[in-house]
Amino acid sequence: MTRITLFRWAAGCAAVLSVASAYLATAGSRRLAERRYAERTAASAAAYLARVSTPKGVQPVPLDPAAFLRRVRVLATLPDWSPDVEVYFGTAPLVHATEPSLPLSTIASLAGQDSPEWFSGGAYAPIPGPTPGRVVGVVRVRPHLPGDATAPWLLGLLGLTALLGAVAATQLRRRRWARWLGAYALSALAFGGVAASAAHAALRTSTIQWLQETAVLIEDAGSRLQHTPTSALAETFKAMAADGTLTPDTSSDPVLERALAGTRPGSPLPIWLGGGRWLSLQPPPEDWVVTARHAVAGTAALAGTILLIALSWGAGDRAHPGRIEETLSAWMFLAPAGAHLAALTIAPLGVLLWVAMHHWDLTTGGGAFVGLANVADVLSHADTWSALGRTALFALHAPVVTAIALFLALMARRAPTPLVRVLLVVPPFASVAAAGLIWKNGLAAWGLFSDPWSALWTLVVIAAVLQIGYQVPAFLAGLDRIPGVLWDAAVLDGASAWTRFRRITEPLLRPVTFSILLTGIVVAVQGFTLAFVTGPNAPDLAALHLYQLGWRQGRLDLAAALAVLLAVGLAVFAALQVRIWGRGVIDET
Amino acid sequence: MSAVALRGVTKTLDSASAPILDQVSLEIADGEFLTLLGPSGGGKTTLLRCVAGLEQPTAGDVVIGDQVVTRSPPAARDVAMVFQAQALYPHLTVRGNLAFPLEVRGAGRALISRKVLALAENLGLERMLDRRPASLSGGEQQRVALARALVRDPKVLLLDEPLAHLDPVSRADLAAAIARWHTERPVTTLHVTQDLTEAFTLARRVAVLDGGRIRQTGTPRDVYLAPADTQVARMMGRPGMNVLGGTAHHLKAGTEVQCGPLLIPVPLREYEGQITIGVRPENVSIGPPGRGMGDATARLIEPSGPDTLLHLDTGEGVIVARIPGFLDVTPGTPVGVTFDVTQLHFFDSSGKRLS
Repeated sequence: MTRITLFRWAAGCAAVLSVASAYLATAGSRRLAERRYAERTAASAAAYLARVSTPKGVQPVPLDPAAFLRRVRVLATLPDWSPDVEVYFGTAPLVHATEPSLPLSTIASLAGQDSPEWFSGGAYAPIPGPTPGRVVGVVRVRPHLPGDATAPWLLGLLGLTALLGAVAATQLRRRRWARWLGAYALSALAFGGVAASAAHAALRTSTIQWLQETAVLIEDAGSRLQHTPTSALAETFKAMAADGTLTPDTSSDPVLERALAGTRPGSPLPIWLGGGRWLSLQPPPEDWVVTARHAVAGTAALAGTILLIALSWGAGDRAHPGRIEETLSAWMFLAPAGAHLAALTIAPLGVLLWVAMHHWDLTTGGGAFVGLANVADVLSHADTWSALGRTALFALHAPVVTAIALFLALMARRAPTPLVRVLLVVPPFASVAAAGLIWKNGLAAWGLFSDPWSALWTLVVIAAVLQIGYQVPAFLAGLDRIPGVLWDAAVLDGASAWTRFRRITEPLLRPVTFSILLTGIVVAVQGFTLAFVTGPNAPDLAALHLYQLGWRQGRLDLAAALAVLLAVGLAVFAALQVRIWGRGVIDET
Repeated sequence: MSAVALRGVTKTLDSASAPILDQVSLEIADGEFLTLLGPSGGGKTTLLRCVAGLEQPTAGDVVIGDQVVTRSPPAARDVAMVFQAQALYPHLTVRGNLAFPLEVRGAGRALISRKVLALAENLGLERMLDRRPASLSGGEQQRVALARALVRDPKVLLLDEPLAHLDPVSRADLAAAIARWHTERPVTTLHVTQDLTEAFTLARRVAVLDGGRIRQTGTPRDVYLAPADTQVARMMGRPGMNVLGGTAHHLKAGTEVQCGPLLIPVPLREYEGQITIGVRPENVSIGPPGRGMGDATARLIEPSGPDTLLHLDTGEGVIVARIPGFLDVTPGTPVGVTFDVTQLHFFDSSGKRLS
């Protein structure tokens, strides 16, 4: 086996291992979440049954079997309390009569425990009897969390990423290596995102679900103690909070807190006990630390890409001395720019993707993973389509403006004085907002902003003026780069001015034209400031629509989905441009 | 008929500065190959561009054939030009570059293809027809540029230092190609260069242009052997002729010229006063101090293999001597200097050659 083959095998293993470990981390998180939920629910239910099945005011509590039986029936039918539960009195199942009875060994091992135990697929919590160390019953909870919306995504991306990683590994240091690595890296990025999201969601759901259900138990138990003050209640119900803490609630608006608690991780859940009494159920703080396990899944997925790059580098030419030093110093030079890029471009982009794939409200913050539902949602609104249509119409000015700028640049080269160049460059020195306001206030009197349509056309004119100022100098610089001798040669060959432009100038200027046109269209599609300062009659361009979705309607998720749509659209457009028009550009540059 | 004539062509940028071209008159016969030789900044390229029509002379006329074309656009003059470098269309293949002049003149597809192929074959470009200029060597690029100039059979061919940026091998190749083409199909050619070797390799007739004026015209042999003035003399040879000012005294035994420390007996009859002597480096020899026409100090020694260039400081100027083989002289040592008096050139005080 040659050295390079060895590296390819290593790369393949690294890619597959990275995907597998990310998946395992996610699955582990889900397993952990389910188990944690089951254990807590079992503990809470056991404490609840012990509390409500004892006669009032008797200390220590002897368990009343009749009340216990009644209470078990009540428990199984409590509204909003839905765990997969079985309660054993002794060894006899009370909820589902057909269940096999509890082995004595289980009871024996639970004797003397005050926390739940995990046996074969369920959490078992003992219900203590009147004498210490005696167990009168057992609550068993099987893990049961709402279905995971990410599961099909996770599996699909798992397969795709592993496949792309394997292919990329075989292409190590071959001609198409960069392309396959790129595809793999993108897929790994998506997979890492979904895996992290899945891990995060599972752990979060387990906490929130338990909080909500335990609140039901505490409310039910509290309704029997109408006159006990909250501080005493917190102490009495302490066992029901399992490893969380129960305190009298001190928040200013418990009703709102209660409404938000389901959507916001980490916040305590207020529980209403009637008569203005509120308790606050707080999950253990380490829950939110453990929730950070989602980072493990994401990192594991991305590690493959880094390993592949490192292996490719390692498989490179060994004969080249000082390679490590050169590579290191190159990265050191790149580091500041890289950090800037990562912090200000890549990270926000990641957040955007995250938000676009989750339920995310301005007031309540992040919620459940929804995949492409936001995209589907935003695409189902007629508003979106009209905004996109108007944006396309608005962006149509870019090619026209570019043609005008090219014409002006060609004229400016013949101008006898550099003053002409200066005058053409002045407009972009004005800020877009200032220009918009000046135009608006100056032209409002002519009724140019009286309705969205005339405002749209006026904005086209303003944008054109601003754009031309950027484009003319770029064209002038591009023209200066063409050796003048080529035009001389063409003149001698007998080419007319038009032929010289068409056959010499235009092809040689194409890299400049291409980038200017593309930038112009991107700027137009992203155009926000102009529309924003236009005021009430602003044309509903996509960027403005996006802003309004996010900040007026509070639907950050829909705004993010629209932003992603726009980005994808522009990327496709740019790729098509390169395909159709830019082939020569790539050749020349 | 496509002889070229320049009649008093003058080009000034503005009235304040000296003219770039000053009353240049020149005749190039039909099918002749004329080389315009001169230092950079001498106005050669401007003259060429005036002939091409890329620039307008301030005064004077350009005649091609029997037509005055001074005000005609370049395309109407039917001239072609090979530029120094970088004049191939970078976005077109070699084939595209060769076809371009024919295409813009509306030639048919079949004719273009035939002509391009024939020319490419003639100049050895068949194998690079589908390559872009960027992938060609400098010599190949200039060969393509030459082919592009020739493809439409122009009346006049203008060559603007076509060999200047080439390595010695490509230079010789391209010079041979140009010479062969011109022998096979004589086209009136105006060639511009500042390189003596390039000029002598290609030219039948040379015109020396300096300071915007034609200093001398003639065959390379004429110009080399009898430079018309000290400017031309300095230009001829590498390094050029040594030019020394001195005073001539007529004595009984003959005429002697005193140039600083050197006393040179010259074969001139009855000349008194200021005189300028020209002597080629190869006609200067050295000996022990005191044994020669005078002494000088060796300064810079440049061995080149077959011979060595020795820079000698006479106290009033530097003389360059070309001595065969390697020299055992260290800088700073005094040497005796002798001129081959049969090979001297004489100029009057204004720099004109004395016959």
